[in-house]
Amino acid sequence: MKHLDVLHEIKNNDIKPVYLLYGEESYLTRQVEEAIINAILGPDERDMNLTIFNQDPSVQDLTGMIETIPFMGGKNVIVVRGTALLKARKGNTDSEEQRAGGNDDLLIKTFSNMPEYSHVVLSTTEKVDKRRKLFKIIESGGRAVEMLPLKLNDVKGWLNGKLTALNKKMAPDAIEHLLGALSLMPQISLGFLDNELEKLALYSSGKVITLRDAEQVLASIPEVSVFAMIDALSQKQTGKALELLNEQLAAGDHPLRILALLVRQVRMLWQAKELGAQRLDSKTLAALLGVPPFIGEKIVRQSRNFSASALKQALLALAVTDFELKVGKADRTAIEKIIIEMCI
Amino acid sequence: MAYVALYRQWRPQDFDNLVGQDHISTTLKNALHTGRIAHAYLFAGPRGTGKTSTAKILAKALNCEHGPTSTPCNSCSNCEKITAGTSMDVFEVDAASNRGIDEIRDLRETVKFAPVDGRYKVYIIDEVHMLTTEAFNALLKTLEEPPSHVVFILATTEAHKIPATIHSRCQRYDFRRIGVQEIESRLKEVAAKSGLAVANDALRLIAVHADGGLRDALSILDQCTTLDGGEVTAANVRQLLGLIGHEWVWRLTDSLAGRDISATLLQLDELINSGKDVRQILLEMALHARSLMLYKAAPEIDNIAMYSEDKTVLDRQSAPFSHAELVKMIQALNEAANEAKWAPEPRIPAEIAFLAVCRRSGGEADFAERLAALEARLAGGVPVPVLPNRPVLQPRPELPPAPALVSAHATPAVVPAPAGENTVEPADSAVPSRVEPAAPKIEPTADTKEAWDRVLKELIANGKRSVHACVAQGQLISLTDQQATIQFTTVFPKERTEKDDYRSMIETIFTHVCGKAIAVNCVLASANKKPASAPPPVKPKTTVRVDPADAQHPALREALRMFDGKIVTEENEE
Repeated sequence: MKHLDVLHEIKNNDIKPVYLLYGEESYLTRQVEEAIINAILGPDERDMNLTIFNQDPSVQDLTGMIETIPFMGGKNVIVVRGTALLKARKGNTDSEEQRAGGNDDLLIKTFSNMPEYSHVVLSTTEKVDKRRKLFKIIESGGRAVEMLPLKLNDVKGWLNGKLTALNKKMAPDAIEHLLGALSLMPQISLGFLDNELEKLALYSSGKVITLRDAEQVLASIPEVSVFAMIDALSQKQTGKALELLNEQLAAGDHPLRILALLVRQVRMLWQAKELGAQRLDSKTLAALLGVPPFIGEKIVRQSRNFSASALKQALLALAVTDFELKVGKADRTAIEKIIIEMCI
Repeated sequence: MAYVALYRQWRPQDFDNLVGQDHISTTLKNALHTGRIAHAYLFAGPRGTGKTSTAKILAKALNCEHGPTSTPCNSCSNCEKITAGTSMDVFEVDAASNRGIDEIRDLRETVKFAPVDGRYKVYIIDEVHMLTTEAFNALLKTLEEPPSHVVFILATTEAHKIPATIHSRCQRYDFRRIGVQEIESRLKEVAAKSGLAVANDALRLIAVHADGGLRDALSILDQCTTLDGGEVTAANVRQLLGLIGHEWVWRLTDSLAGRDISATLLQLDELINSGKDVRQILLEMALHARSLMLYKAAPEIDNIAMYSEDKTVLDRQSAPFSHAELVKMIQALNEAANEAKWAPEPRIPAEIAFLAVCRRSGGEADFAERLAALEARLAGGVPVPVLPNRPVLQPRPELPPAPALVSAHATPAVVPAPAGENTVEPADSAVPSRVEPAAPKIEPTADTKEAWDRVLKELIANGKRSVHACVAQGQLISLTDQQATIQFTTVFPKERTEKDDYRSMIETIFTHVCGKAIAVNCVLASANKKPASAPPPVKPKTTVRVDPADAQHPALREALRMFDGKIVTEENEE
């Protein structure tokens, strides 16, 4: 079950007694949790009937709370964050196994027969053991939702939703810029994205967020800067590219990290160049490169400004620099050198 | 009242006075207008760019009696307390000295209490990257869901040290280095308002050297004004910043650019004698070379820390070098700096590196290329750059045979040039400018060869090995009734053979061998002596125009040496 489905359910007031939210994207977890609480409790009821644990309470406490009739006739919401109840078990000693087993039984009994007036939200960023009986009970009686990090292809949809909420629009080139930077990230953090969009919305004066706004305001984390740097490189703007590099290094990022991102990008440009020579359309090409189509298009466009041999040279030079940086033979100048030579 | 440093006097007190961070002040102002205040901010950026100042302004904007407003009044009691640092609602925590978990726990305890005077409790945590991991984790929970009356502002110079979990919970603002222009105009303003007399070029120099930090700029200005009572001049600033020290770098670079080996070595020697560390010299030179490289690639760059920001110097010194040369130079210097660490005598790697730079592009590939080009010119007999009114590469008419006894003087070889043409000076200078092809070697006749062999054998037979060793380096190229001409390729054996003792010995042997009295004449092969009996073949006389700037080029020098050429100054015709 996806988080959007759950949100939809909650919106339609179909609220289950037990939720298990697990997975790495804690931003989504928080979002669903918030939605559940808001759907059940009014703002003034929160003080009395909302209980939040930041670690597992004892099972007895938990069941006790579940069975307590809420004050003033409302409903109980019990949130347990970072729960370890569903952790995969390793070879525990017998006694522990037994005790835990006993706890499990108690929980299973409670969860399978939840009083109407109580709701439980369990959340964790860790993996859960889906073979456990407890998990199956939660799944059948309530909802178990995995919060997966967003894939780049899904970001656009999320972005549109967020922009509507902010009552803003984003220029296509600004979106491309943002997504391009995101494409370099190993994992997209929605929390980060959320904050950045908030900021963008505050900065832009009109209704439309422009590319200039994006360039001004986006955090100068390496992914964003390297992407901008490659852009400057492909337009042969040596000065801008060097400036961006220096900003990064001055902020304390290790040259190797920047180098790694640069390598990835140059390699892709080269691949795009070679594949482009075979007259592949950008869609197939993007699929071959393993990037979304719009990024593929951008890379193809960028690659037109370089010759294949120049890209090869650059990649080789990057490899040498990588080695030399690691053995202490080169310093940042080596990266600057490569950038200058790519711009020529 | 005690003196307050300029940068404290002029700390910006509202968003409009915040210099060079428009993207941040606009965003924050809008946030204040719309009431969309985040509960945690992360201010990242280099020192002196306004992080703490912005945090304080934000605190005031939130808590001003007339607020929340984007223009705090700075006169109400709340604003004044915050400025003075006595507000009960604004906590400035120095994370560098309160980095433990206990301090953060204490802080968390206070979070839940409502603000005393204002609307918000603002926690400014400076240098937040210094917190321990445990402290970060303790902060995490509070940061995640602080009560609605709390705003956290974390400030740091090293954003990459902040754990991702903290990072993703904050709105991050990146403070940029402030542009030179902006610093300069701010300095001007400050100087004018504090009644300081500072020359404009001095301000510019300070701005350039502040490295994007306004606080640094104001500190430098502060120091300069204490130097003496009068106007602060650029010279004062230079002295204060120790920029005079840069001159030697420029001088050394000039020598390198001119490939002036002796000047380079002398300057290096002088520097070392004056007590400079060799490694330091190499590193500073490498930095300067890097600046030259960057400047050459992108002259418009303004925001990168350069070794010396003086653009006229960069402009002048980057011109003589190509990008490849600069890259090689940096590599050579860096390597030498590394070697200098371990070398028993660190100046040796330094000297090697500098010599290598002086001899740059004397590289084999390059040299071979030039040589090939030269040969092609000679072979084709085509004047390379077409020179008007110059005797270019003219095959000379057959030369009259040189007088028999050719001494150190060259043949009166030059046939008077046709009228109207610029003559090349006769004799001495004419000879070198003709490039003698190495090919037409006059093979000694069988006769002379035999005679020579016998002479040499005789020498050994007489036990004159040392004489033999010397003389055998020559070659008998002609043998007439009175004279034997021996050609040497190097100077020493020729001169030695010419000395009386050797000469008489050889003459005696020749007399023995040939049965006549024969005088020995020694010539130097490259000196263009023509043996009397062998009239030289047609000699192409070549003049190639050389750009004066290239006169010292190693390839040219090598060519001159090989072909025994000389550079003749071109005279203006008529």
